Amino acid sequence: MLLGIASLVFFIIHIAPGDPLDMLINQYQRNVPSPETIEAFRIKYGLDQPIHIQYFKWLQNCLAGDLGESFRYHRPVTTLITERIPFTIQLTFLALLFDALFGILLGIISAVKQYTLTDKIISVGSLIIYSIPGFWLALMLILIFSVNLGWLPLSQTRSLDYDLLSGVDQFKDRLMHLILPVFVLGIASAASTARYLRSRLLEVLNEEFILAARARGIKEKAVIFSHALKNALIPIITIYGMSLPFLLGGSVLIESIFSWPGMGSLAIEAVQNRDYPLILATTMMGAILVVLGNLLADIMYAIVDPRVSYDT
Amino acid sequence: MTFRKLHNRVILIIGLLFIFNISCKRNIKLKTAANDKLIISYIGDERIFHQDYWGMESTYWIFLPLVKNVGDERGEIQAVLAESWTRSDDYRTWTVQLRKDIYWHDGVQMTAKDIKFSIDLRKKVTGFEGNYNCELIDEFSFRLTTIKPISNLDTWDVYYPKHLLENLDPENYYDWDFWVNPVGNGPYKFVRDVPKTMVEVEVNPNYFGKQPKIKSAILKFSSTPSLQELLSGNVDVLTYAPRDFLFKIEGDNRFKSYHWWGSWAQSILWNHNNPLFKDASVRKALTLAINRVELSEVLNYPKNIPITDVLSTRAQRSKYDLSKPLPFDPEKATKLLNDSGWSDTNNDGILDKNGIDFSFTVTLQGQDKLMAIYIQNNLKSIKIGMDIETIEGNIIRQQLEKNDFDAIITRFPNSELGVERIKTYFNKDSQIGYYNREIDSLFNIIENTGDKNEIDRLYKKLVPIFERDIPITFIVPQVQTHIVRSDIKGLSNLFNADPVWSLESLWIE
Repeated sequence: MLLGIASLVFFIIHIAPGDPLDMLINQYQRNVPSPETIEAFRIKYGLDQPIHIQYFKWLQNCLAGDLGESFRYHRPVTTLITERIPFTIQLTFLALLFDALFGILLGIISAVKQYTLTDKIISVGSLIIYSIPGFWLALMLILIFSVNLGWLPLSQTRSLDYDLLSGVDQFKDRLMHLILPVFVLGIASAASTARYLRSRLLEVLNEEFILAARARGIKEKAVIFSHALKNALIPIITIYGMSLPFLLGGSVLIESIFSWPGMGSLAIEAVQNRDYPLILATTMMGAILVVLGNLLADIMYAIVDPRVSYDT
Repeated sequence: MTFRKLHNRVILIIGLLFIFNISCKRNIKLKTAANDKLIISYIGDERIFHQDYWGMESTYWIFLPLVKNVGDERGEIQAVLAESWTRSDDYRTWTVQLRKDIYWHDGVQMTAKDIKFSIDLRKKVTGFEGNYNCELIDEFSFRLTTIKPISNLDTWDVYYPKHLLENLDPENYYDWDFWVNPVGNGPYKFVRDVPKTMVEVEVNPNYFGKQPKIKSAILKFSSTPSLQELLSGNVDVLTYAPRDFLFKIEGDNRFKSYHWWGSWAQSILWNHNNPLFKDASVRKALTLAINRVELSEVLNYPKNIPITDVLSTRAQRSKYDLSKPLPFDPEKATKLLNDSGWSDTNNDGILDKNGIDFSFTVTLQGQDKLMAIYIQNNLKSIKIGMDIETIEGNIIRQQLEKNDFDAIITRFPNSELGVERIKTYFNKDSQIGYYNREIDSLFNIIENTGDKNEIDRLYKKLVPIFERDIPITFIVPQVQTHIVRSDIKGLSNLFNADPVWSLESLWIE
């Protein structure tokens, strides 16, 4: 699957009109490169070769763990990704955590307090939040909490004096920088989780085994958390697995707004500069996440639902 | 309504009012007011001082070129590392005497060996020959031989310390730690960095030139220019600001904008193979119909930005030695079109000739759409139909190569620096289908001339041809906008507007 995706992307970006070396012309606009210079670059990066030769060379290197050298940065793609990926993992993981904590919590409250004011507030609120475009929410939060109130940093992952802070202050600093991007990235999916879990939980709460549990005198909390929630969570887990690549996609925009130096902003730069090796590598990373997400979902599915087994 | 319900609603309204109030809060007191320190919002990362990596102006804080352009109307060259130089009559061999008082930031004296090392290193890592051959004469002098004549010593390339780099593997050139912790010879020296966040520099006390008044500067990295950073007082300078930011800071006396006049121009490239644009008087009429002065105001360009119809050298632009452009004159445009046989015979609001309507499509990148809409309205008033097609820049370049377009709005390199490229628009293989033997031969001479005055004179010879033929309509010159705190002094519009480029001559009042 990974090979298929990578090959497809390879041919699409090569067939697309335009020349990656145009980027060089823009890069050196104060000192316009001569046609000979551009040709030398073309040879250096193997762009003078027929596309199928380029493909097989790339594939061969890829299988040997060499993702090539970035046209824009002239550095190994693996180095660039290694520098950026921790920032994206941090952001995505915390957004998932935020989604899980708040989405599930609000979903349970909403279901348990069905048709009450709390349920209405949560339902309408989550619908509104889900409908708000992420970039607009990000800009509004920046305006309120960073520009006007000055409570939270408005961009980047660390403060300018980060290296001069103590260990504890460094941790606090990182945390402060994470609040807004994690909130913006996680809130929409938390709202969606809450709504989905509410309806799922209500379905489960009306099933006969819940009635039986209540009849056996099991406490309501135990009924909800041990019996109903466990069943209601099964489809949610699948959604989480699938949402991993979507969160990565969402982080492209959030990283751009918050000047977050992660994979998303790297992917945008790669596309803008028609940086073939970097585009391929970032796409591969996305594909790996899709596969990993599905794998994780399957594993969790088996853990939560003992009836599911992958033995055979 | 119960008291509880009422209470909840009141709380909700107060909350909303509070959010509305803080959303509208303005004029925040700027936090960064240190008299000798600037925080500059900048696109890049901790390798920003590596010229071949980013190619940005900040390189010159740390590393220096042999000479540099004076950032004012004189358009002259000023010695930096070079103390003096002589050249051969064919402008291909330059003998340079280096200053003897240049020290790297680690205290080692700079010599001509560093120059030769840097030139050879560049050749080795980029894999192509480059422009120079360097031959050492003695400790502080060297000879540069160029493939083509050059009118000045290079103002672009900077030089690196041989003693720190000679034992490093050129294979890993772009990955060297040196670029993250550079040791240069410029007015500022590297202090520290926070990866992907910032770099800090401070004044180099051993700098041979005048000590800068700004003692320390931080480049704060951003993926795109952020006005919020400036408004919240997190940065003092916003570089490469989109011009729509100017509307947002209009009337806010905490900030001032400066506009740097580049050598490129937003231009309309007419396809001369298209029968609509074959006639020079038609192209002239189209240019006369566009109100370029008002357009530059619409686009928020500075008021005194020069508009031209001709190619010019840097020196000519610096001295405003430019011929007057065609005025905005729609009546004259209509007359020229009528004289060329174009009239609205079927009263459909579009001129026609021999049954063909004067309608065409202009292709451009998204960011030029406002400009195109304005031009579309201008042309509509003289009964010319113009459709707008927005496409990606790379596709525009392909359309040009295949000569598959009606008209294109794009950047055109209006400078003597890009002669090799410029001449391809006017030779036998012209991308715009315009071949002019006279222009072609003039460019061939310019390309092989090193004499600056001669180049200026040859460019002057191009003026009447361009005025007569209008092969390209230059709309407005390229302008880069920088927004700074208004107490930062030492900048001026057009030639000295870049706060990063000019950092060593800035001060804070």
